[in-house]
Amino acid sequence: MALVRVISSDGAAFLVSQRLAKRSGKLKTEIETFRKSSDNSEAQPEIRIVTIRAEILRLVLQWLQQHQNDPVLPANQNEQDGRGDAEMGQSQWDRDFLAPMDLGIVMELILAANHLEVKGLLDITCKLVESKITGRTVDEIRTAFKLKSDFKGNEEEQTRLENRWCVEN
Amino acid sequence: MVKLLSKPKQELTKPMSDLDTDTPDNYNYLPPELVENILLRAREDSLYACRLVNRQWNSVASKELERRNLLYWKSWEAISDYGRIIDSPFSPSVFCLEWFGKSMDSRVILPLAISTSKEFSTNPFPTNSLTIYMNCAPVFWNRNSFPRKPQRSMRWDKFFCQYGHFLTDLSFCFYEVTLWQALIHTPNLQVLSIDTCFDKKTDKLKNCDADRITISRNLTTLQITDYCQIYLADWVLRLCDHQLVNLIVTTKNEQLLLCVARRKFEKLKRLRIYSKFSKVFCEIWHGASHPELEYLFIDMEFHRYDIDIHYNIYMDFIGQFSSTLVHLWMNMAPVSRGGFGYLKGKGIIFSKIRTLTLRRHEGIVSWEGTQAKKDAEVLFPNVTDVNFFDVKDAFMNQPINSIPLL
Repeated sequence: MALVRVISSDGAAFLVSQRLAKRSGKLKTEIETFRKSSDNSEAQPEIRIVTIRAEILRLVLQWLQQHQNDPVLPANQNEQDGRGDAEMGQSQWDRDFLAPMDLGIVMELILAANHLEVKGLLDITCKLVESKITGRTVDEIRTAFKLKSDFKGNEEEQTRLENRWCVEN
Repeated sequence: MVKLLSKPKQELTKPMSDLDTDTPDNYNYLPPELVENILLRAREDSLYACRLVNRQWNSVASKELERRNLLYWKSWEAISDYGRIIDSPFSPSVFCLEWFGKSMDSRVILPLAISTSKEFSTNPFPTNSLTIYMNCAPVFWNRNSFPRKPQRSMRWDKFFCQYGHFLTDLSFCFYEVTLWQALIHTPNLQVLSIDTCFDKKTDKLKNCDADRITISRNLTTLQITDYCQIYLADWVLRLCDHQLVNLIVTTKNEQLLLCVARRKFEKLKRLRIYSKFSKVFCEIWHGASHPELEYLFIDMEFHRYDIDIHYNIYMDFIGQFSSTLVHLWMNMAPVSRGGFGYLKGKGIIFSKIRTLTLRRHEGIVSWEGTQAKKDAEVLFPNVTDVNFFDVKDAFMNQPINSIPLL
C-alpha cells in the first residue's frame, strides 16, 4: 500500500495510506506535487504541515479514517446558503468524537480542517461552535469566546441602531 | 491506516484549550478564517448579535449578512412596493430586478450600504440586470438608518460608480438621471431602456463625438419609450447609433420618431416601432441607412386613421427594406385599401422574407383566393410562414416579450 509521511508542526510523523490522505484536498495536492517533482515513483512522499500540531493532526487523521468510505463532498457544495451538510452527515460517532473536546480544541480543529481542506470535518466542528452563538446575547458570546469589545467611540451604539433598523423593517 | 511514527520532538506548543482558563485579554483576536468559517454557518439572527461582539466579528458578520442578502435578492419575490424579479424582456435567461424606488427594504439596502466601503471581488448581482423605477430624487433612506455615517448616504451616482461595471441590462423609468454619469460607469452595458426620463441639459449632451468612442461600447439594444426627453433620447441615439443591433421605439411623440429617422444605423438588424402614423417619418427614413435590417415590426396604428392619401408613403416606407428583410410584422390588413397592389405594381420583391405577420381584416375569414394573397405570393416569393393577428391583440396588448427578438 502506498504510504505518505505527514509531519506535524512539532515534529510528530504520521504514516498514512495515500488513499486516506487524499481525502484531504491539501494533502492530495501535496502528494501530486511530490509525484511530479520526484523521479522515483516508488519514493514515499513526506509532507510537513507547519501550522498543525500533533494532537490536532492526530484528531484530523482519526476523523478521516472513520469517514474514509464516505462520499467526498465537493468543497463548494451547498454554497448557496453557506451551510454545510453537517446536519445530514453527523453520526453518533462524530458526536462522541467531539463530545470530550473543549472549545479551544474544536477551534483548532476548524483551522486544521480548513487548512487541510476536509469539508466534512469543517462542517461538524463549525456547527458545534455555531451552537454556542445561536440564541446567545452579545455578552454571552463574548464570554464564551473570551473576547472583549474593541469598538471605539459610538461605533457600538451605531451598530446597535443599524441592527434594530434592519431587523424591524 | 494511521500510524504514529515518532513522538513530538519539541514541547507541545501551548494549546488553545487554555482559552477557557487563561486571562481573556490574550484572546481578543481569532484567526480570520476561523471566524469566517463559523459565521458562514450561523443563523441570520445570530449574525446581528455577532456584529456587536467586536470589530473583527462585526466586519465578518456584516460581510456574511451582505452575501446572504444578495443571494436572497435572487429569489426575491416580494411583489410589493419594493420591486420584484421579472424575466428580462431582452434575454429570457437573465433575471431582471425591477426596483420601485419609493420605499426600500432593509434587506436590499443592507448589502448596498455595507458595501459602500468595500469592493466586491465577484459580481454582487445575481441578475446582472437592474431596472430602476424612480419618481423622486434618489435619496433612498432616512437619516438614522444605514449607512453608518448619514452624510455618506448613497446616491445613484455613487451606486453606478461602484456597481456599474457589473450591469449588463439597465432600465430607467420615471427617473431623474444623469444618464451620462450612469453610462460612463457601465462599460459592460448591453441593453439600455429609457422610459420617462429627464436630465439636466448640459454641454455633455450637446456634443457626444468623443463619448461615442468611449462610452458603452457594448451597447447593442436600446429601448426608447414615451415622453423621454427629446434631447436625452437624441443624445443616446447619437451616442450609439453606429453599434445598435436592436432598437425599440414606443412613442406618441413625433419629434422622437424624427430623431430616430435622422440617424444612420449601420448595424441595425431588428427594429420595432410602436407609434402613431407619421408622414414625415416615413418620408425621411432611408432604407439605405440600415443595410442590415432583417426584422421589422411596425405598428403605426395605420388602421385607426383615415389616411388613404398616405397609403403610398407608408408602402414606400416598407418597400425600402425589400432587399434585406427576413421577418415583417405590420399592423395592416392586406385586403384593405390597395393591399399589396401598390408595391407589386412597382415591381418590388421581398426576396428574403420568410415570415410575415399581418392584421386580420374584420369580417374576412380566409384570404384564400383573394387578390391580396395573389399579390403577396408575388411580393414575398420565399415566405414560409404567414400569421394573422386580430386587432384586439395588436399594439399595446401585445406584450413586448411575447414576440421573439430573434
